[in-house]
Amino acid sequence: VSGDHRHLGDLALIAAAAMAVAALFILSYRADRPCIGETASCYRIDPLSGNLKQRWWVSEDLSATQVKFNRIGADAAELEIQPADSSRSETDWGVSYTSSLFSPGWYEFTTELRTNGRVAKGGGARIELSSDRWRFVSRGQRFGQGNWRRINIYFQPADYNPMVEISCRFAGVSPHSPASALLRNMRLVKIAGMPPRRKARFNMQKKEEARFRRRRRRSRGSGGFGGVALIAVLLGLSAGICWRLLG
Amino acid sequence: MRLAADKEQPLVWSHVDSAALSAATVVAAALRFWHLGRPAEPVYDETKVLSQAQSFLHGWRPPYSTHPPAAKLLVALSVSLFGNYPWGWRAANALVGTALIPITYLLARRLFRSKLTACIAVGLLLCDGMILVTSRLAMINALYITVAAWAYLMLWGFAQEQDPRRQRLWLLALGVLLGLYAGAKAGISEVGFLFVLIVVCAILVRQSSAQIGVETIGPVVKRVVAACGLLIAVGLLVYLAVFLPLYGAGWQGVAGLIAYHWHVFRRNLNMPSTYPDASPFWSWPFLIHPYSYWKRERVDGLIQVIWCGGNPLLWWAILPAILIASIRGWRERDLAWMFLAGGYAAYLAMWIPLRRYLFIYSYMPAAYLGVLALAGALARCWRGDAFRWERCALLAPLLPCLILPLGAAWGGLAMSVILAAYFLLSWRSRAGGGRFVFLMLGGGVALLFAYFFPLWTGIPLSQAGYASRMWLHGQGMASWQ
Repeated sequence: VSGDHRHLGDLALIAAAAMAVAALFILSYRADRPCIGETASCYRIDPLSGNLKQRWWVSEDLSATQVKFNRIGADAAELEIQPADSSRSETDWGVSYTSSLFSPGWYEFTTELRTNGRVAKGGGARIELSSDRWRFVSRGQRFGQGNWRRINIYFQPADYNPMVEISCRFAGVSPHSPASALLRNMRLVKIAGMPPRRKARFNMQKKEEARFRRRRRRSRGSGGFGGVALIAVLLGLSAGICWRLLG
Repeated sequence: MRLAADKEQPLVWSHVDSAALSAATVVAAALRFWHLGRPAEPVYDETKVLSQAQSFLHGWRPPYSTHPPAAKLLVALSVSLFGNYPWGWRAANALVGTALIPITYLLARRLFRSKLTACIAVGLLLCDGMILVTSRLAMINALYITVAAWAYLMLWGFAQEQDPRRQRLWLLALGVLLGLYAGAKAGISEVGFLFVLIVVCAILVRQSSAQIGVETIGPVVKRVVAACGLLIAVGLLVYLAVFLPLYGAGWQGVAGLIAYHWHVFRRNLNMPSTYPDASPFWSWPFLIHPYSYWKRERVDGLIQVIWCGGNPLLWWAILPAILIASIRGWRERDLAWMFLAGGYAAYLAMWIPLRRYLFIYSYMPAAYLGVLALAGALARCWRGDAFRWERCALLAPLLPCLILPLGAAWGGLAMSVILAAYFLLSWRSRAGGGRFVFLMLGGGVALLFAYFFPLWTGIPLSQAGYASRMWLHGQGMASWQ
């Protein structure tokens, strides 16, 4: 009887642990749902909302101390970059925002960009949008131009990598010539159906499907499953013989 | 050679076992599932694995991969069960990584016939960062490490089984797991398979010699051949089964299988010897060049990292533990110690002939065996069975862990105090010194786990906090950044 009690006690402990693991699993699942709720339920991302300094990150060659990124209105922000390294004038400096678009379909990205101040000749700002192997780079806007440029593009991310990265990059700035740009009305919105005709668009999902289909077509041929089945039967027979020998 | 089973009576399962196993599993699950969905984007090789998993889910032919598809099939299953978003990508791996902890408890308990050693082993494994990171990402490493551990558990079940008929069942399970191991990771698993075959042969020779005498060699050879044949046949069957989804996606019979393996072989031969973040195999035990799988510096200056590096004290303590395992295995002819030291050496020596670039995460299968050896050595310290040189060797890794963050003066002073306390306690009693070593090393590993935890889980750190954790920051290979 005491042995049975001990056995029951052990079972109870292990069952309690299994329930605790299940509870952790469910809690974790529920806790991380908002990560998709943010994008999939409202289908709209406003990168210039919330705490910009927490949501945006600096490019690898840059330190946060060399960047000023401040809100200047409800949906506008000013970005100022003053790199510390004068030997790397060829480098493009910038800040980026990353988001995953878990609801499959087409998205529209829009923003407006305006450069401020003057820097050495050739300097300018641009917007980049990248997803997996695809990258859209807007035409550069020279510093000091002062007019707003609107950027608008439609894209569909691939299933397996629904991440999108939005960057604002500066070229030609140096420690002696800091530069700034204004960004406003930046948003990623999921659209119903297809994008309008004659608009810039890119379909990553379609590219991926085409790539895989090509591979599949190429690989379709004479071969069959018979050879593999024969090997499997031979292996099974060998295993059976060895099993008997060990008995 | 001697098995642990020869020395002692079978270990009875008790409340202590149930409690330790349950507690460790719950802690493991908490560590793995906490904020599992963050970062909310693919990290490092997750992109490749997800690409493969999605192609399986869509019935497309997956892109080329050096490694067989078992781990990608697991991620595909995870996505189909839990959804195509970060938590869903990683959930199955987190479950597999959680299972590694109870499997390790059972394995250490069998290897050393000791509950204490089993408790230490899971405690140490819970404090390793690379195992934690592996279990929290949708990559291939969690599956193959867990399956390998499970295979070792079956191997020791086989070794300690007296009934030949029941031994076959252990071998069958071992064959299935070795096939799955090979189906998840190329290269490392083949070395593991070969190593297990050698251990099985050694066990059978020892058992058969004890039963029928060395003069009748025929039955021994028959058993060895049959056991190896069973393992290889079953392992290959499972390995073939892992590739079945590829036949649905357009592979061509045996030719497809041969072409794939030939391609993998040639590709590995032609890979360059250098690559960003790569490091030579000999540098892995010293934790010279870990790197970031993922890193972001936010505009507010905080840094988020998923760091591919182990717990420094734990990794450095593995080196003396393997030395102890080798010497004890040799002197005591104890198969458990030999298994750990031999496996560790095999998993490192396999890289010697290769010229291609390598990454530090390939140290994990060796490090896993090293953790078991360390658990065995620490248990001996606690029980007062460790030699003085063993205790001193186990204390040595504390020195870099004190000097690197505190500087030579303060670190040296702290180490001097520790050594003085150790010699004082050792002088009074052998057990006291051993327990001191156990507490210093165990406590140190736990403290460093807490300290480095943000690096493994992407918790935002200040610039200073991040820099203080990067103990090596040279321009060459000795860099943790």
